Amino acid sequence: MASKSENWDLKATKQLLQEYLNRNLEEQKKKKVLPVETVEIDDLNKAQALQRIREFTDAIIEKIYQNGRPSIFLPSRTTGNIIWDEENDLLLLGKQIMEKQFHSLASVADMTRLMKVLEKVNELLLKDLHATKREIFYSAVTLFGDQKNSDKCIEDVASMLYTTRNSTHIVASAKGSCVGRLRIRDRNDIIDLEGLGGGGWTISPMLDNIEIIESDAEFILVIEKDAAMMRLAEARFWRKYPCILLTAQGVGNVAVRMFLKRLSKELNLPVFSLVDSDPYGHYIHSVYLRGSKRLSYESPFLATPKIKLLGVLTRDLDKYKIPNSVRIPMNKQDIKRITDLLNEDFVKKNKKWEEDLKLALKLKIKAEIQAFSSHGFEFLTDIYLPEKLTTGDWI
Amino acid sequence: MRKRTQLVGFEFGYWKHSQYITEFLDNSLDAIETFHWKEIEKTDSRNKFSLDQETALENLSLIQDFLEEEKHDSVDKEESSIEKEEEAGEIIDKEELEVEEEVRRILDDLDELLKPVVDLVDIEPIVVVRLRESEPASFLTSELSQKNVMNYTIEIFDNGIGMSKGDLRKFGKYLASSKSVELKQTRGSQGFGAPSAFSDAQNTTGKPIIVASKTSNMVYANASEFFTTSKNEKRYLIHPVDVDSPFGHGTYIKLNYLNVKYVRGYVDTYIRETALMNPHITILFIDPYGENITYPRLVSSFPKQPKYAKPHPSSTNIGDLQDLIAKSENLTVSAFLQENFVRVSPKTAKEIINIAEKDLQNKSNLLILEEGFITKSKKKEDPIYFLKNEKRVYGRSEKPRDKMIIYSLDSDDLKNDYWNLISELIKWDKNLVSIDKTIIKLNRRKETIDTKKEQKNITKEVDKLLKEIEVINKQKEDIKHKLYNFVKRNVSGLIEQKKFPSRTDYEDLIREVQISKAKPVELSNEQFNSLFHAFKSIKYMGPPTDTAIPVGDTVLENTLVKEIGLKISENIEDFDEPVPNLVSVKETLLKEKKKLEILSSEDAPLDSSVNNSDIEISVSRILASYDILGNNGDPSEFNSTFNKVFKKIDEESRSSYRDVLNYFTDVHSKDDDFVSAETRPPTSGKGLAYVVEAALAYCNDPKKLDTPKRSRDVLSRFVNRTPKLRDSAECAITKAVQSVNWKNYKLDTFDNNLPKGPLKLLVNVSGPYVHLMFKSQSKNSLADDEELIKEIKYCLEAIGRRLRSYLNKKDTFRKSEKRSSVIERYIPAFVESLFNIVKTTESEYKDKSSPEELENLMKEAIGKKTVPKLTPEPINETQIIPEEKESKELPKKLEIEWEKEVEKPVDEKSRIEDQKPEKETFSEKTLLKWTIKELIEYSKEFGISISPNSKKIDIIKKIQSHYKTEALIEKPTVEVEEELVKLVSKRPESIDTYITSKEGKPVKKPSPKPKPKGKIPQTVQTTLPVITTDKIIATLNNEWQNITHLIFRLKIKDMMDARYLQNRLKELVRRDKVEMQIIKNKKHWKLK
Repeated sequence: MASKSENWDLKATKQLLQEYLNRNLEEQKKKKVLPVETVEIDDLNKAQALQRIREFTDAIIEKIYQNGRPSIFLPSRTTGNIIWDEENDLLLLGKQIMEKQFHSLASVADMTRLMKVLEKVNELLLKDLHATKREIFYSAVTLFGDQKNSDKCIEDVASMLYTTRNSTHIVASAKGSCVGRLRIRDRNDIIDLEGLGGGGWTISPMLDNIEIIESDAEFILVIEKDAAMMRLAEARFWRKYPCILLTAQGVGNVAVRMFLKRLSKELNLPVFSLVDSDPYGHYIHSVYLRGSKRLSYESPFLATPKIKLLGVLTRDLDKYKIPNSVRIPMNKQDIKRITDLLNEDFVKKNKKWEEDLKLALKLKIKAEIQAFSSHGFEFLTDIYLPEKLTTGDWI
Repeated sequence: MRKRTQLVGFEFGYWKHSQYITEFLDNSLDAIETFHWKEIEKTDSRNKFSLDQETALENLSLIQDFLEEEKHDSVDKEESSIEKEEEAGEIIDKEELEVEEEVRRILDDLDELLKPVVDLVDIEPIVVVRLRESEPASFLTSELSQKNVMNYTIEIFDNGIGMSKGDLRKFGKYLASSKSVELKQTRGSQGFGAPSAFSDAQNTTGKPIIVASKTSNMVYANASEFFTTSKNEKRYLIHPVDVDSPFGHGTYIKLNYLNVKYVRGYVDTYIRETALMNPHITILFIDPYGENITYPRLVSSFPKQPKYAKPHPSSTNIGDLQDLIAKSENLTVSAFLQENFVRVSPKTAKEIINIAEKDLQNKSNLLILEEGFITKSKKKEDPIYFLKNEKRVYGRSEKPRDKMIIYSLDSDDLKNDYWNLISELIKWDKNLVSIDKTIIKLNRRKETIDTKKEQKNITKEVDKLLKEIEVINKQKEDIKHKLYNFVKRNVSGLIEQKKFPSRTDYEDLIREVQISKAKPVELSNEQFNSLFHAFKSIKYMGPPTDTAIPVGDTVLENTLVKEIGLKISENIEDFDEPVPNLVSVKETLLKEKKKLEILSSEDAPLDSSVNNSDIEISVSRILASYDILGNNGDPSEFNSTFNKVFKKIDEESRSSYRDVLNYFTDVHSKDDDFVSAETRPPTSGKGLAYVVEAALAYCNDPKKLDTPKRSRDVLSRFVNRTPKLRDSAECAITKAVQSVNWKNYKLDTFDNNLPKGPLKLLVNVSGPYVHLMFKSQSKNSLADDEELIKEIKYCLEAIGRRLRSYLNKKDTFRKSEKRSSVIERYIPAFVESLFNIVKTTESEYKDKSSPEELENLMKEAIGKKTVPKLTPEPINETQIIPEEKESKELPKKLEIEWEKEVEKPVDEKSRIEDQKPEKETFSEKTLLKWTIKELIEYSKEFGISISPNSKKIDIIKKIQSHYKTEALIEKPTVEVEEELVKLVSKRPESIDTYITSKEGKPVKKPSPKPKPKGKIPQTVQTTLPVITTDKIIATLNNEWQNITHLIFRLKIKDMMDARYLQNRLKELVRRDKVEMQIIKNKKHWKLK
């Protein structure tokens, strides 16, 4: 183990960055191609979205004139219709289409709600405003009944128009924060994320208003927990190691994921995640990696396929001599989650990851990031992270 | 007397009322049935009920008013009559005059009772029951220390077979039943009910019983007033006297009893349920509150007469056998068995006797050999005798006769040989005993074991042992054979015992052992016991099942439909008649087919038979062109419409026609209630033949049938058509109903697992021996029997399956109804959102359409999918017209009829047309119902140019304007089509009938049958009466003559004529041509 005073040279991370830069040059030459059996989702601008809405409503009125029985076709979002694209390492929506009929008891309420959401989307687009899911729900509480219904309809509307949620101007509530070597512009405000103290900048859900100005970071670190983030912020981690820190306080919501995607795309930086050494942590990493199943149709706009799992790995527990007192035995739910993860195709393809999960399954032990505090509070920032980043000890 | 009352258990309480009703109503129903069955056996009976006439009981309501008026009078009358009767009770030796007065009073009562039905009394099977209450004399109630005790007068009349004088004398005595001679499926049979009721009646009130009865062969009815005595005799107050009767045949009983105050829910329930199971008899009940409750006859035929049934050995108990043997006149036991029991053949009789004899041989230690007998000794010291009949000359006769010779075995060798054989026999016997014991043990163990597998094993073991017993029995026979051979071989060694002291003992013994030779009446106790055991030990074939007569599932279904007033599309008005309209459909089809056949005679001949699918298609075709929302049309127009439509049958569209038909069936039956009955094939369990049937009604209208609050109101139990109201929890029927898993059939249940819901469930068990299945003397509940419960369960499950599919169907209907209302609710919100979007865009619809229009379109589309789209395009005129011309040439007569029918509406139509210029087939309304696509297609067909994007209303307008121009050009051709459509759009009545008939169920006509009102059906007179009014007047003179005189003088030989004479006389009196006076209780007539 290296001592605290040692000056770390993040050799491996720099190497990775160089690699990305090179690959990026190549990739710019060839365009990304999605597999044929999947639905193509476009990120639309305002005018395009409005155009699509118009086409859609015209079709419905046409149908009403035909037989008075309007119906909607939209891609099915059941698990059976979600396809993992191996080449691009993304979860995508298949070509299964389902029809919602107005004159059916099962879907009449859904249809009306959809239309309501569409009306709101139309309004938002026209006025160039953004609204949260909650706002949509409160626009017609009696019709929606429960926010679950409106949330579902919001997702349906996006997939119905073959566009991203972001293009519908409906945003998730802000939950994540970001700090580090980055300068952005939010409409007219220029924000320097280095000078925001320990709290950092709350990631805005209205990302189309955000413009990334500049950054001299060498990597991006996504942290699962606020507590760990605070530890790093207090240590001014980015001063020593030029980086951008990001947290979503749990599973990455749409705004955080989209922001991360933009950062990594525009800045072309290596991305690492630091999560708890438990199945849930691994799951959080997988959501950043390829998107959640529910929003699979938006995966190309939300996922960051090049994200690396930096820690805490199961094997690190022994390597860094985490004492037994902070190791927690797994419960049934953990084991189920881990076996579920092991069944996923993208895990099976990644041998190192599979190995680590299997090790976790064997030991049936989990630990949190805070477990390092048992070696002293500075252990995480001064030894663990630099050592991992230097040696390239990631998955 | 008190003891006897307790025997049948008449106790104060609400039930007592219904007990009285039970006893007499059941008798009445039996009497009516007996009468009917007797009459229909005669080929030329003129007395029988005229069942084919509609019951004219509506008229009863008219008389009801009259009765109500009378009610007050009758109360007064009652009071006075009570006084009189009390007087009468004291003075037993009445003067003749007083007797006369009393008899007249009886007749007055009878007349009053029969007044509402007097015109029906000879032609309609009818029972009239009247219950009246009055304050009892105070000395009667004081000892009872019960308040609310009232005096009740029950009167019951039936026009059944009536009682002859001889029968009448016996009536009221215990065990004097005319029904217990041979057993058949009747309601009561033992002769306990009526006598016990009588004794209770006189015990509580001290008033006599009044009975009047008349058979169809008697001129006068026989009336009497009497008490029954503890010696099972009758003490007459009025000895049977001849009286005039207002009825041709029947019985009238009147008695008084004390009881707690009448409340509804007992007697009326009993009568209602009786009427349910006996829809072939009209029942009239007048309750103490003066309310008339009428249950008119609902069917036009009686049930089949049940056959007399001999008892089956398995159901016979020792007492029955004893009784039968005591009465028997047979010479041999074998003959007796064969004659008195069903399923006993000569072979089985022999087997029974063999077994009995074997048993007796063991008991009396005397073995029967092939020839002679040998004693079976137990100890070595016992003497051994061989007995044999030999021809000897003895006594005074010189001819050799059979004589019992007794030999004894003396030599040791013989004794040893004998002992060798006998010890073997004894050994077998011991074996048998031990096997018996093990069998008993095994059976006991079987009862305690739960698993089926082990039970099976034990049964296997028992079977094995039984086989062993058979083997042993064979061995025993072998030994007996050996014994015989041994005796035969060693005849020389036998020593004849000439003067044997206990000779008679042995003779008795031989007689005892030989059951086969004994006379049944002379059987000894031992013999009888052995015989009974043998009789019971043999397996018999099940009894014949033709002795059990069910009510029948269709009858039950229809009775329920009528009783509750269920709404059933396939409801039927008449059970026997085929529906005339359906017949006419068939006939028309046949005619048309024949016509076509003549037309196409050059080509291959057409299939001239009409099958169901043809009818189906033509009816569908009519339906398809028929406006569902329109109102009912004239059924007379159906045929002509039908004729035209018929010609358009094409093979390809068969299936789509069927859809139309199904749609209509659904629409028609969606509000239907449910009724289903199931009659199981007769079964015989444990020697009893019986048949189980059940009916279940499910009613959607709570006014007609609400969900009963108590579980017992759901289930009605019947045994031999008799309702059983008490002890329901213990009854096998209840248990069977509880054993059904009603949740499987989408029914809720009460806590005791009886089904819950707007239900009525009837279960009837019928059979000649059902009285043996009762749990107790009160005959209120059936004993548990595995077979019986299983039968009922299967029966109910069959109904349950039908109910489930009905309820499922109903559910889907309800859902679709709910759907339309729910969908309608969402339409405005949907359209509003849609339009809010459209408003902001540059859509082409922005100005073209309005939210209202869209809303209307969508609303109209609700439920539209279910209406099958079929042939909205008009029938091609060019096709129809030549055909019509051709057919005009061929069958002239028919055509004329057609034209008459058709022309009239055409004339009217064309007048209307002049006013309304849009003279094409389709009105604006119908066009609006079409979808845009259909409209466009339609207009294309007619050459109307329409821009592809125009709105619906525009299209319709264009079509209509097209009609205007077209009308001027094409007037003559369009007219035919016009008229057709007009006809088509009216609702043909018989469609309903057809739809339902498709399901193989009895068909109902929804049109009410015109009922004869105020018209009273007359007796069918097959031959002209010999007597005319003139003749009667000629016979009458200035002297008082009674009916017997008149009959004599008119030389009347037939009872029918005598009856006719009575009626004529009545009429003449009414017309004031003849005077009538009652002298000595008999009507006398003379000319005025």
